Amino acid sequence: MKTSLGIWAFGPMITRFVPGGYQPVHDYRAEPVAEKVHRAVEGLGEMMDGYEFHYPDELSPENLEDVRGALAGHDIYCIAGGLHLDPRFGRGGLVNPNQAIRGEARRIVRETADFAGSLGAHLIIWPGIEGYNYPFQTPYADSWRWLIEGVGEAAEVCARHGVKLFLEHKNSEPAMKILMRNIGMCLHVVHRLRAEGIDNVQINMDWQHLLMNGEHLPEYAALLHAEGLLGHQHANSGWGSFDDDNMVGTTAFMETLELALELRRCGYGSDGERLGFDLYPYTEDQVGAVKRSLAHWRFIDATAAKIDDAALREAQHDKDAVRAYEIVYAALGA
Amino acid sequence: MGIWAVGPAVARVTPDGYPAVHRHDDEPVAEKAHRAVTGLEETIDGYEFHYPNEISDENLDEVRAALGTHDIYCIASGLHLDPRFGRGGLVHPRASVRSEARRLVSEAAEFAGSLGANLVIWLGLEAYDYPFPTRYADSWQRLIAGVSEAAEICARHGVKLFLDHRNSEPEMRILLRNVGMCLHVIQQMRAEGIDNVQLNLDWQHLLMNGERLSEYAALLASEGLLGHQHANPGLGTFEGNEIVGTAAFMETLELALELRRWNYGSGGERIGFDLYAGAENQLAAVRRSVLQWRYIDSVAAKVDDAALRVAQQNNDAGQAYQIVHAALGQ
Repeated sequence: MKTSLGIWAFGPMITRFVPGGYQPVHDYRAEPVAEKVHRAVEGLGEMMDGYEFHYPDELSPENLEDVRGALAGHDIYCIAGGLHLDPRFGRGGLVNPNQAIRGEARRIVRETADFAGSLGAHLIIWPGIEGYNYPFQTPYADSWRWLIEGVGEAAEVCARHGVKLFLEHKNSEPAMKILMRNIGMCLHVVHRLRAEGIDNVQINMDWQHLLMNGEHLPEYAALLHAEGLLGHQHANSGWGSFDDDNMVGTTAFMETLELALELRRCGYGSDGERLGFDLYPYTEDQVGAVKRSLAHWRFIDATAAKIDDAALREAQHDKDAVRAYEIVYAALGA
Repeated sequence: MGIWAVGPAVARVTPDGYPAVHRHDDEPVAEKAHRAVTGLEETIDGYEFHYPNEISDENLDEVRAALGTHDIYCIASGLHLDPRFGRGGLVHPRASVRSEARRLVSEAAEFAGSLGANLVIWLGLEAYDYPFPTRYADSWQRLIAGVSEAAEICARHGVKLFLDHRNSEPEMRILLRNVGMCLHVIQQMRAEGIDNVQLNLDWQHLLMNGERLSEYAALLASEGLLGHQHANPGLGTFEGNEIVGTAAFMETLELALELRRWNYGSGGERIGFDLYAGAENQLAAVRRSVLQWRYIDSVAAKVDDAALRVAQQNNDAGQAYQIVHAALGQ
């Protein structure tokens, strides 16, 4: 399976307590994106097949040639919408009740879709600012309608370019209550768009975003695949209810192992789908964290390959957890 | 009101229940209904029962007599009360277990329909406890097939099927775990021409998930899917089924406002009370819930909605709370 990496893993690692970031040497002004790409490509070599960038903050026509030069043959696999990086949209972009702000947000999202399409890259929309912070503040039904309209518009632009739109959910941050907060609500959006004839929208499973919700990774991989909606992965892990974006496999080990098994069952990757890495190595060496993530994933995936799937299917026929774990632990070498 | 509010309030650490005197063996359901009706009178219009454990053809006449003029508003399916389905019913991988579950759910739908009552399906055991023992895609397909079958029976009787989600308990990972997954099931069924399925908003089931009551009431109403309410709050991630308005006050107040905006109730919809009084006096807990709901709803009626709409036009939380606190009397 091919891989890709979000270039933000090579950023300054800002938190609200450390606005300059834990790694200020990697500030975007001190180290422009093309230099980050150069550092990544040099450090990771062929471990990564491609990279992902936010538009316009990380990649735009302005720096495209510099970045392409730095990529040295690696591709641009995804462009991610970046409204959450623009303070004008602090109270929402696509769902802002102010028509002028909403119109500007829609314009930028369309422009993002066009830019992605022009590169042959897929578009990721993670509508993290399309939400609210307080009860009473928001016209809910209108907001949902506006969200679906905005996403639908971007999907149509993507369709004209023959690329896909990957929806990505999260329950919170930066908006405290994000509208598209779980896989179910992604499916709601997808169903609404399908009803309008838009069928190029799939789901990007950001693993920690699911884990934060108690959403079981392999269950959703299997369900989304069965629905033809398993578009992309953002691999990472985390502790609990915050989006830690930690190294793959450092927590949620069994969940990740079962996910690897389901991805194998689905044939994920055989149509060009990739394992994307969405990491935020706060205080860790950035290249080292990516390498470790990939090494962990390869170990986990290799373990999944050793599982006697026929025997596991038999155990599943009785939902026999004890027998299932005999089989899984045998694959681990127990 | 769900009749289980006047049950023994069993916990796994207190198997006889907190008020052990209300075990079903000692106090049959008809007697419970009599106690509820006597104590609550016109505070509650109708009652809800699990089939077949709380109501069936066997005790229907006695329960009806105890109810007097009060009606049976909903029948809730009760697979989770049957130990045969500890590893799932509708989604059980074994065809014989699964078909028995489907038979019972269909029977529950027939029974509900025969009474003119709506059917609530809460799929608390259609799920799993561990990674690895479950066939996920098959399970989802079986879940939708089972619910569809029940919905078609409900449709023949002209009643609705209300889906009720929860993330956990008794199974640790319930498939139908949030409103979004309910919407997924409904969209799948709509694609097959089944359109009598709506959602039952069990408030604590949403609160446990961080799902906003008012947002989903508005969204579901706009989709024609706001079918029923199971009123209750809770303090955190476990289903407390506590007295309405004792926690999540602002969330409940905003819900009341949204229900008013969407004229909830004008099509015969109800506020159902799904309470589990624990160690409290059961009837007092129900009365307090209704009183607290009436207070909250009356505050919602005082909110200057036109002014609030203006504040919402700017996403202005500060202005919104001036308006809300004015309704509270500040």
